[in-house]
Amino acid sequence: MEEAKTILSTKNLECYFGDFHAVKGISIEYKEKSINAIIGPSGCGKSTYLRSLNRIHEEIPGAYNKGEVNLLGKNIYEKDVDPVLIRRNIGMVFQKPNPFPSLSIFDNVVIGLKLQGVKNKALLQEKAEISLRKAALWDEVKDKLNKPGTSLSGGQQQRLCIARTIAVDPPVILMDEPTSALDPIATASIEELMLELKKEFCVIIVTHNMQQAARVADNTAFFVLGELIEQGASEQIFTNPKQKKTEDYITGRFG
Amino acid sequence: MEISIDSLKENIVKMGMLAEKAIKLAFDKSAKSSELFEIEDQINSFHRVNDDLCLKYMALKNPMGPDLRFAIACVKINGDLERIGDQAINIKRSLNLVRDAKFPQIHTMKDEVGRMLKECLDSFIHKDTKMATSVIHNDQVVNDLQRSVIKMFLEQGQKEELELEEGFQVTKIAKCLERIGDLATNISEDVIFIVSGSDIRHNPEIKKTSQIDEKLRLIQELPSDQNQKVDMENITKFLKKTTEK
Repeated sequence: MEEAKTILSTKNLECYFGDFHAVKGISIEYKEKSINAIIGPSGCGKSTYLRSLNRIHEEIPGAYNKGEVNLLGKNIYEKDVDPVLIRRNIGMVFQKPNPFPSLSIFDNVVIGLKLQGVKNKALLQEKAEISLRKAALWDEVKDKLNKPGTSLSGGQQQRLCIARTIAVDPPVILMDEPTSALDPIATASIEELMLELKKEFCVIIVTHNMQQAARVADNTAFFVLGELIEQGASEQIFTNPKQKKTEDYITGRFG
Repeated sequence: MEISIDSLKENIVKMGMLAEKAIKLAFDKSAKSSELFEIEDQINSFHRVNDDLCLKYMALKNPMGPDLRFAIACVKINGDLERIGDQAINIKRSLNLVRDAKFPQIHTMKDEVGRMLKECLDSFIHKDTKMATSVIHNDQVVNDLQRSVIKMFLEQGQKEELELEEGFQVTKIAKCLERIGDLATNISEDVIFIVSGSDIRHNPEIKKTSQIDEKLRLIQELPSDQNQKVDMENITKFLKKTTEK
């Protein structure tokens, strides 16, 4: 079998909040069409690391990065790189669903395309339908596309945010605890959706829910205090971890 | 009962000690069959309780890593111990039909198998992969002894030196002991799986050599808080109580 291509990688990535060294020299490769989980106790830097993958971390005053994040071989931290362009290629879904409250369901999905200058209505409609179908939301909203995005349930809103993210076809999707605000049914539908998204995208998910990482992720990385303790295939990490700290964490003896 | 690894471990150890007791009773001509049946009933109760406990533990605690391996292994060990109880009954039934036949290998087999069972349980209690490995290596000795019983049965049968029915019962006893040896070996393999995550089953090459040791991350490397506590005093009391009835 042909080996999957690396789409995103970090090399000695360091993240700081002023003097505080939050993430310490993380090097990980992410393959195309894969789901990658990052787990670790609170404060281990996993969200900071994730937010550095599409240059959102640096938006916080005093926050900065060192090291490399390579998207298809290009370091996104080079001076000539436009962060907006990066965020278009590396989409992000947040912990709490955040549809634009003033926009309709339809406009929430195509807002990214509109901001890119796409005006062709037929194209926007086509993209909206494709994205909503991929986000497994189309059947539920096709008759109320003009209703506000916020009129949907929490799980639907999160799928709407996923539809918005994938509408601009980013090769990489970051998810920061995307189901922590959802009930088990909505969580299951988002997890199912992740497995669908994996057919096209590289998904990187930060989660506190180890079972979720075990259920959906091909690979899992375990962070403690800003350091990468262990990474590998999820089936290995969750059945036979090599590091004692990982073993302690997944068995609930630490963290 | 508390749904925890400690309860699970304690129950398996209790059941294992009952299995040891069952083998002793099977060979004790002065013991009544009813005593053995009573022990077997208790083993069967543990079989159901332990499977239920494993199910609940996995469903409610969502164990991972070594805890998950432990629970999976307990399901298997539970089944193996129950079958050892069945084999003890079979031995007793056959032994009741043997009067004069002299097969010294049976006594050696009984001792070897008794030791294997004790050691596999000790290795389970202490997560001692070295001891588990020695049990696995010993299985061959028991297999050879069984073959030797069959050979002797055929030789004596041909010379008409023994009653065939009796000789046949002796080969059945040898087969039961050989099966108990296999089950003790399975338990030892499960112990190695619990400790190291390595599945060494169906791999005669690994079993023959010292490669097992190389594949193992030995118990010493595990933190002390991960060696679940077993209340031996409690288990001994339990065994005394149940076998004195």
